[in-house]
Amino acid sequence: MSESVQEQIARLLAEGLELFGEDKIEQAAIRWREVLSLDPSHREAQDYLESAGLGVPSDPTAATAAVQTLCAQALEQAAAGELDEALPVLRSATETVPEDLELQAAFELVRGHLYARYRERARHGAGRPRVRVAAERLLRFNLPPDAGFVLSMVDGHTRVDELVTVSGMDPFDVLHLLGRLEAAGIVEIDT
Amino acid sequence: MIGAERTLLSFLDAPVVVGDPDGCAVYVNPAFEARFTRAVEGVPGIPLAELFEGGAREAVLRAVVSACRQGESVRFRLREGSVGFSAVASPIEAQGEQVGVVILLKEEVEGVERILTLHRQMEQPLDDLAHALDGLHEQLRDARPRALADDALRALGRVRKAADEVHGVLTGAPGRSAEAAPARVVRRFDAGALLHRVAGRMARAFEAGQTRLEVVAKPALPPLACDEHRLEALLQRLLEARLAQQPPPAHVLLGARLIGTGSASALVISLCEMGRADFGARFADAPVAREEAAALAAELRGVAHPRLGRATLLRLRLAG
Repeated sequence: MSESVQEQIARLLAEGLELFGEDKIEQAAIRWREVLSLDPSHREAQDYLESAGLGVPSDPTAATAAVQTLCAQALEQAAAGELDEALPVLRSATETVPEDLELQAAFELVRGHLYARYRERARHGAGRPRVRVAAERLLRFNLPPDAGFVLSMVDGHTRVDELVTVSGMDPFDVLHLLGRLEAAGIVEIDT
Repeated sequence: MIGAERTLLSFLDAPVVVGDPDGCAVYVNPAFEARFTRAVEGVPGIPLAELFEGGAREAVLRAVVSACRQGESVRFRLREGSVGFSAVASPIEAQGEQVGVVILLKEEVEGVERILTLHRQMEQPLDDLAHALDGLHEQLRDARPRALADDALRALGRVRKAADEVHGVLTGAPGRSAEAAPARVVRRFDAGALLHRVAGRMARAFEAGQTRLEVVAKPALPPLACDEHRLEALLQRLLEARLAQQPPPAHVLLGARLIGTGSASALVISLCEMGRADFGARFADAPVAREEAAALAAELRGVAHPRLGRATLLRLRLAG
């Protein structure tokens, strides 16, 4: 169901470069450090970190400080209304250092706000999502497995609350995926 | 009568508040004025509730009601800023009628939290000792050694009862002596079901406080193995403290999710507060909550942001 380690590394490297190009150095560093957590000898990730003047995190306290800074920045970003942008930053950071409970709390806070937003958009669970694109076109989207799973249950009749129940997934994840599918124009929720 | 007391109470270092039967403050001594600057200019006549805020307000009002109803002194704890206080609320009676209540506050030294930690550290060795003595008692056949083991078990029961009473006095929680309560049962249980149970029990109070409470957790979570009742009591305490804030948050999400992978994975239970409340305020019973979390071998942490809200997380080990 989940991507392979090699695919994950390729994605993290690409995301890091993209963020680096946008001058989001700390966020890029998180991605590259995550690559090193998957493959400590990954030459490319080491080079990127060194080129960015960040160095390979041999000192755990420096890495922790970097995560804390990132956490504060992400919370400010979320407070400014950029919840969708703050979420992946915090998600990536929590995956890198899952034991950091304050980081997890920051992630939870952003998830909470997004959850409230998604619920409102889905008419507090009463909305009925339906697929907007033809089945043959769906193949072009190269959807991740969990999005495909949620999409497979969208029939235009089932309410969002019912989708959450039958999916067996975390309610936030279902709403988040529906939100992503809606943003991509694949799904619409009646209002 | 108040005038005479005022002269004596003015010399006390400990803060004192005297309230009338209607719940209004009729006197606060200089020590109280020095430590609780909020609204003291309104005394006499101001409601007792306005002298305190947040969890302290709730603790004081609960103690005053309880003292007046039972006609007995009630001990409790509260926190003002960074300072903790042990307090006692006693009814004042005259000619068989309750004419008021006096609250005496005593600044806590860090020793109280140290004692709570020591109590927690004693629990496991006491359990181990009881287990060992039970095993020994079963194996002994001769009357004399069995009698000695009986004596040891009884003495252990007294030690446990005293330790639990110390804990009860410091936290305001009822004691869990071996005679008074069943032994703690640690078994596997479903955290999601527990969250729904706690939320269901608190639903009416949250509705009354106009705070939306929602459970956000997938239906099948890995099981936990800890003292289920203790965890349930802790979650209820945390929710009550959040609801007691003035103003309370507009929305509270009670969630659970898995973090980490492999042997490092754990379950986090979260309380996410959003909207309306003052998220910079501290909870009066935070040390007790931390203590209870530690007794569950759990870690309690959180973050607050003035505009986003506050998230409090409890990390628990998974069963097996």
